[in-house]
Amino acid sequence: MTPDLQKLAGLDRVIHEPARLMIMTTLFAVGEADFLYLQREFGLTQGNLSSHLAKLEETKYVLIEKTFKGKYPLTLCRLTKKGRKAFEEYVRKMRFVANAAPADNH
Amino acid sequence: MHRKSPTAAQRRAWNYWFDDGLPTLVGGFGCFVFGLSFIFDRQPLFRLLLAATYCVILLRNRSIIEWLKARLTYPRTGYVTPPYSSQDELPPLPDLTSVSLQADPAQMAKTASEQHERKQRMILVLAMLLAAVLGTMFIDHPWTFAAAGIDLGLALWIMNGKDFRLSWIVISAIPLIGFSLAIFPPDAMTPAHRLGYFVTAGGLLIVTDGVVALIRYLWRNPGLSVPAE
Repeated sequence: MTPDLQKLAGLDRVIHEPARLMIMTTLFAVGEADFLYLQREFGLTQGNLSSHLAKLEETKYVLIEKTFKGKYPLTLCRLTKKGRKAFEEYVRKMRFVANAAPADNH
Repeated sequence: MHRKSPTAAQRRAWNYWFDDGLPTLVGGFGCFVFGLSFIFDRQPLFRLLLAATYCVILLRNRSIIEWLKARLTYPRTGYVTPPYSSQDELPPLPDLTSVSLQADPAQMAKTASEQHERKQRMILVLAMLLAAVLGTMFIDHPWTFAAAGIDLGLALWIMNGKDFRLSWIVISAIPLIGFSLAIFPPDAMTPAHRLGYFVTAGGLLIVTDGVVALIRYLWRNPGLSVPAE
């Protein structure tokens, strides 16, 4: 196996799951978002999103804060420093893997 | 599943800010009030009230929009960081390209130059606005309205989709307002009146655009969602 492809074995499995990857990518890009926005953005059920967020919170990649905007309660989610670093590292590794893959000539 | 890149996510978050029409509505109302303060220049108290209202809208624009969104938008479709936070207050959020060791230099240069482009765009648009305002006020000729209309329409077109989102109906209607005022000029025109009529009509148009967007948003999202525990 080439060294580039060996990096696949070292990928962060918490981030690598598709739904969590969507959450991390979006939070990395937009800063913070609430539960309802993420749910609508990805078309996930409340339970499904909750479980993925719980997993990301457990690994301290995502900070979940219950707050208010006016009288409306918001469940705000944002990446922690650890989460941002982990995501950046994940992207670097994936970039190496992508470079090792054959180019799409279509 | 759609392809998710930070650029696409940022773009969707940016669009989301304008989806409910509230920023357009508040901005348009500010223009409307500003224009009225020039028309009612012989009624000092009313003019003072309009000027105070305009100042509040101008200085507290973000708070007003957030207050409205907290009651209308966030309970229906959720909250995401407003676009101006990343543009004006915080350092720009990195994108995937810039965190990659294999980053494409051309893409990185593009990302770095975006803020510079925005500044240049703002200077150009400010110059165009100033030309329209001064021309309308100090050149006493009906066709100045038409020229100012085209100038303002161009300025809005340059900014549309980058700094705010207006419908094409508004952008094309601004020159039409200019031509209407050129063909049917209002009576008793002082320099302040000339500017006032133009800005009031433009503000009313933008408010209408915001109201239409808000109605469409509420139509699509009629009920309040139950917040997650």
